[in-house]
Amino acid sequence: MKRILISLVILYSLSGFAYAEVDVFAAANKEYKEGRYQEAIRLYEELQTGHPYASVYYNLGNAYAKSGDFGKAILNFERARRLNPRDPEILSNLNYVNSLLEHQVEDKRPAILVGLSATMSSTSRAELSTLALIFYALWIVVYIVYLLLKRPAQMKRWVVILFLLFLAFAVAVALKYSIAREEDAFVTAKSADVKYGPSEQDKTAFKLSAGMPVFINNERDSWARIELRDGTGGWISNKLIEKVHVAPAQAGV
Amino acid sequence: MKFRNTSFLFLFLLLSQTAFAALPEVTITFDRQTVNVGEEVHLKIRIESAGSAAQRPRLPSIESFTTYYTGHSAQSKEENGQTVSISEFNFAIVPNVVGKFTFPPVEVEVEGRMYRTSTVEFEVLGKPGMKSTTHPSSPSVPHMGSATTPAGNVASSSQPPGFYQIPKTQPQGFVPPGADPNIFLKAWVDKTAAYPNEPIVLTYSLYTRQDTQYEGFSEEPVITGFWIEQFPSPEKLDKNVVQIAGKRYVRADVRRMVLFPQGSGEYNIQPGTAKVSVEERSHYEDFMDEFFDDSFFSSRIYSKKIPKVLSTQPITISVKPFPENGKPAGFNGATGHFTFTGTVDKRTVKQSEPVTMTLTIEGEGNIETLERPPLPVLAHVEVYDSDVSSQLLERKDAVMGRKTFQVMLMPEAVGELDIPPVEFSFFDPRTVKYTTLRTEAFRIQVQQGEGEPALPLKSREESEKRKGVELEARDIFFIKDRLEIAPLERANPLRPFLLIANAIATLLALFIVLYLKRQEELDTNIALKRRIHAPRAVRRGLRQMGKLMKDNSRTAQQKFCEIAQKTLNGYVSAQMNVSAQSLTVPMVEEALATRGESPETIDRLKSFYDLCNQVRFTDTDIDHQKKEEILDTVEIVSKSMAKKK
Repeated sequence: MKRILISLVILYSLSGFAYAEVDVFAAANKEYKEGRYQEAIRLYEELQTGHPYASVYYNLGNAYAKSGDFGKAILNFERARRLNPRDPEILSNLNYVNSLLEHQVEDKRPAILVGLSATMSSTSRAELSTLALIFYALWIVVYIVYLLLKRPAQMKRWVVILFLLFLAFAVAVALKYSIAREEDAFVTAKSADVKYGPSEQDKTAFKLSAGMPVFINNERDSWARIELRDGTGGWISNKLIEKVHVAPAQAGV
Repeated sequence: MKFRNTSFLFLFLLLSQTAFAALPEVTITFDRQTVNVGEEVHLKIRIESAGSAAQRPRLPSIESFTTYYTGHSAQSKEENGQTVSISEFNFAIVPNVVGKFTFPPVEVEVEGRMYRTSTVEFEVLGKPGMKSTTHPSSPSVPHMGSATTPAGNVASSSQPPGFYQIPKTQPQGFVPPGADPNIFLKAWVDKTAAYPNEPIVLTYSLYTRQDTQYEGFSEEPVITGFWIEQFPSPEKLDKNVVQIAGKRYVRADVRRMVLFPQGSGEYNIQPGTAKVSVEERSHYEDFMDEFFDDSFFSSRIYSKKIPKVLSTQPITISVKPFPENGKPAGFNGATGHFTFTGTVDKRTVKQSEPVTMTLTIEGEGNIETLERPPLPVLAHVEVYDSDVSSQLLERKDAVMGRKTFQVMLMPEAVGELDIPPVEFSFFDPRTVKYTTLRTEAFRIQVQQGEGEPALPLKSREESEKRKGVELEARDIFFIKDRLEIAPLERANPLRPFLLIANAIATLLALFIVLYLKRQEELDTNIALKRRIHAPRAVRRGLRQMGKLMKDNSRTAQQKFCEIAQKTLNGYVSAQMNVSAQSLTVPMVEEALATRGESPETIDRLKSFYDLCNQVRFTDTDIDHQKKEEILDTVEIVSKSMAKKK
């Protein structure tokens, strides 16, 4: 029993929780409540170097929204959503700030991709991988019992069902990981020129405004080849966008 | 009058494509089969429709007949979950000549579509002394009378059958500008300013100094923005003699209707035109002035009939909005003066048993447009409108009526059901005030029904219907105060345990799979299985023998030797893949020799069997040394055979 408790304490400390973070978080909240949003932003940004917390990203998004920087507000609400995908306040604030944007891009991706993306975005990688592990454990236990009982026919279906569930979650984890590698990003500059090539000398194809989502397909020097949800694309300076970038370790994989 | 087809004619007309396949239904009923000239036949047109109440049908123009509209009634009922409106329009038909006639089709507008009935042939019998005219040349209409018998033709002071009294006000006495001074038509209203739904009586008065026959309207009035109730057409016109600008006129009110404004604003009524025919004589003016009542006025010896069309000036009516001051919350436009009563048919019911609440509004005003007063919200009570009926009543100097609403209440919970008073508000234009009337409060005892759950009634405060929450503004939610991890991420520390457990379980499963696979293989190769298991049996036998080493009792010695023989036999038979029972010493010797065992080993084996048999089957005892020899023999032979297999 003693050993288990010690192990739990070690694991808890390994998760990155520290009293110092709590203090900084409380100080940042105090600044926010007193209306000093820039100072609150600075403190919340400090916390980003440690363990990622959905509440830190959420509060940071709020601070940016209150200071009028909708691009960074959406970016941080999105980060918070990836860590805690079904939190109603995170979703509400994200939708609200999105509704304030001047421009919207129509999502012209195939319906199946949009649906899959929406489904996947409602769960985090940590959740999916935990569920995959649980279903694997259940499957292996049931399979052992099945072997020891000389493979009774009535148990076979449970072996198959549990294995399929495990497989489904394992595939979902893999998908989630591959989607994360697509490098989602948001425009953080108030206005951003998207050019036909990776240099300032190239002609401007179109303009984007703060808070608009982009997919990064390729990167060259300080330029990123991006694509919008309606299929249009171009090159944009890395300074004008910021990746959502919730690292796999942070996201729980 | 004798109808050849039948006394009543049913018409089932093309139906709307609704679930109520049998509607609309139009029925025409005549109350009599035979009639003499001058007698009334009552015609009723009944319209059942699934939609709103039907408009009044228009009777066709019928030669030699006088027709009156005698009013209508309306009600609605619930059938199979649908509201059915029933309207009945009543007419009186008076034949003026004898003969065979065809009653033409009646046009009925139902739900925006026109329907026509078929024709009916009938016969009018003559009265004694009545002149028979099979094809009258002129329509039979109320006659204005003549100067020869003016008093006799003036109607009595009682009003014609109907529901509205003639207003006391009279039109102003002057000849309208541009009108013929000998005959003119005046359209006039009893008031030019009113509130919504306040009755306004529109009257058409014909003034004539000639022998005149009124022949109806050639152009109907155009009246929009009003609910219209027509006065029944009189059989005899009400006439009187009036003086205008020093001249005597016979005046008759030829048409009258009640208008109920449906909203505030300025309304313009185009009164239409009336048709008359006059008998023209020479020098009639002076003569009439002196001898108005003389029989010469109606003499037709030196006269001829001249048709005339009479028009009148448009009328403007101003409808004022309802005053806002003191307007009750439940006011829904009722105007007039009413009484309001409410009753329930039961005071004790079982669950889900209906209680019928009857609400009756009676008084002066537009009865037809009255709506059911709203019921208070009742918890655990289903409310259904079951029936609505209205009736116009004849009262002195007033537009009267009664409307009854029946509501079914079905309590679903056991206990005392308190029904608060039902309120009805109306605006009285005479006092320019709102009045709110209330029924009494009702208390219904609800008993538990058979098979019904005994759901208790909640208090009224609990059952008040609450308004839905309306979003007034949008903003971001406030920051989070706790540095918390997402719900399922809290399980992250357990994931290493899960991973380790899964790894162990996986290895275990692999081992089990391999073990079972090996077992399956051995099950198919018994010789191999015996050889594999044989050393284990030798070890077990040696352990048992070792335990019996120190025991020198006779039984222990016999047991020791028995185990030694069994162990060695078992091992050798497994190596040779033969049955242990069929094994003999020569067979063992041969097998050992075949395997190249040394003669010492074979001799040792012989001695082993001899000694064991002596101990087991004779009284020979063995000491500790002999036991060790036996033990060694088992061990040496088994090891030797294992090496050379």
